[in-house]
Amino acid sequence: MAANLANNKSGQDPVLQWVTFKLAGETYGVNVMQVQEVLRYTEIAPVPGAPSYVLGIINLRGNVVTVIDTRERFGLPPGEVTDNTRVVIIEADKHVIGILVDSVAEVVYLRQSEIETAPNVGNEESAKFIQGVCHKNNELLILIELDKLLTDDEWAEIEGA
Amino acid sequence: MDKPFNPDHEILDYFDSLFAEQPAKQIDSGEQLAAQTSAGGAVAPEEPIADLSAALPSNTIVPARLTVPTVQSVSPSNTLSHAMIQARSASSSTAPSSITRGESSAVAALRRQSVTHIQPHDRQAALAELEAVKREQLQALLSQNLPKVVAKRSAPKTTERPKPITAPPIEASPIVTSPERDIASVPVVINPVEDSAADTAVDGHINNDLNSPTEDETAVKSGVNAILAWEPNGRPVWAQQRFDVLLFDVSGLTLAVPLVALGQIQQINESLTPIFGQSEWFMGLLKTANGPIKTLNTALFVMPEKYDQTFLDTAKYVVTIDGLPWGLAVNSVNQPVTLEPSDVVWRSQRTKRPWLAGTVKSAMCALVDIPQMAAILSSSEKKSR
Repeated sequence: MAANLANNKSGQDPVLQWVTFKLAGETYGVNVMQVQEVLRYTEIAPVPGAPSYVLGIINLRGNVVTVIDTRERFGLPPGEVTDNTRVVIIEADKHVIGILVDSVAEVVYLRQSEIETAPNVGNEESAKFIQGVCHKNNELLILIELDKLLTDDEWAEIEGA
Repeated sequence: MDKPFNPDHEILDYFDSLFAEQPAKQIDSGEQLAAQTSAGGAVAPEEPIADLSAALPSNTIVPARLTVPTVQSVSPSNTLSHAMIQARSASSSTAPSSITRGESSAVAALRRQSVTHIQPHDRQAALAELEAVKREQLQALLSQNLPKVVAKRSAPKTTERPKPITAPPIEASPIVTSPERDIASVPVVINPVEDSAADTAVDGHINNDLNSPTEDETAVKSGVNAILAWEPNGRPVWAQQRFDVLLFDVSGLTLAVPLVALGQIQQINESLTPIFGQSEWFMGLLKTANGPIKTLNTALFVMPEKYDQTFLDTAKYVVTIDGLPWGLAVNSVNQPVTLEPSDVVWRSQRTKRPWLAGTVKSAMCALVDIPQMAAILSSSEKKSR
């Protein structure tokens, strides 16, 4: 009986791992299963004619990876590249891209039940990127839904560029 | 380039414009219905505040009618939670007629009755008591005479449904009574300590009582509606007789909120987290021991035409709305004042500023219609979902 209850608990309330990073002073999290690797900042080659949220491309072991300006995408003010700046290589919607962040913090474990619905006030498109919020380590963690980071049209535009 | 902001002149001009709006003699039925509907939508199921008081950190003062619907996990916070108001009637499904400290039987009866079933005398007496207790605790807050409460971490949240938070037994609690009223017929019951319903929910044994509102929960909800609802004479229930309001300053404009509609006061500090992709008047989520508070940029919300960006730096407190996870960012909190209904120029034409219940010339302040403001905030969130 107790074992069944434990199974029910884990099934109903799974524990997920999130990679957290800093952006404009706030802490964000992305599902660890979608993170492939974290790179130090390297020179990003700009792509003429690319959308404003595309910083450019990098060469990752022979593969070309597009790097997204996360601040621009989220509507945050631009920031400077520092020693802590990282490019997080993620897989989103079956595409591999890099997102530029101020720094990468840690991996945290969150129960599904700990994730609360994010406020959704206004009509900004970028609000759809937020999957939820959660209090962890005495701060508010904003969880990002990477699969919504770009639309199908935007994916096509990036790949065409 | 915008004209430089001069609080002395700009606010006076703005306040003059508030007074310039002509009040109607009587609220029309459509608006009255809207106000009552909004009052209903604004009120969340209540939780026993006396229980919350025991669960908060030691530097926290518990508000009287703290009702954050989704709060389940209470953790120690480095934020200074200020408190105001009194403990209120407990409303768990297990103790339908229980009364906790700080409220009399009349207040509890008010919360259990719909507006149509309350005798005017009892309702006014209960409101007077409610205000008296809130005023007393607010004074304690304003004088920084903050009582200590014991910190306790409760069970984590497991579902979206609000659930009661349990706490140790409450010691002799002051129950304000009126000598004119006979309360002998109303049993005063203190909730026994139970092991949390949240734990039960985690184990998959969700009590059916939690899935559907009980008779008592419904009664409590309608009771709060009764307090905030508007009467046909164009005034809310709480303003049928003398009432107390809390004054606070927002970019030079003094706003007033009835004490019966207030939740708690929190300091704004680094725990305010902005969220991208939201409206400009959404300042962010303020972390509190009772859950995140959606913080409203009050200056931008109430007077966008006079908005000054410096408000973001000068706002020091968040005044939360009772029963809602929303709070108003303010510059400073002033002393509460007592007003007569005749002191207020009540509004019924709400096409321009639906949140404005009326203006008070004697205190040079604008009286906020909490149910209407709550309805605006809730609808703005619903629309964008």
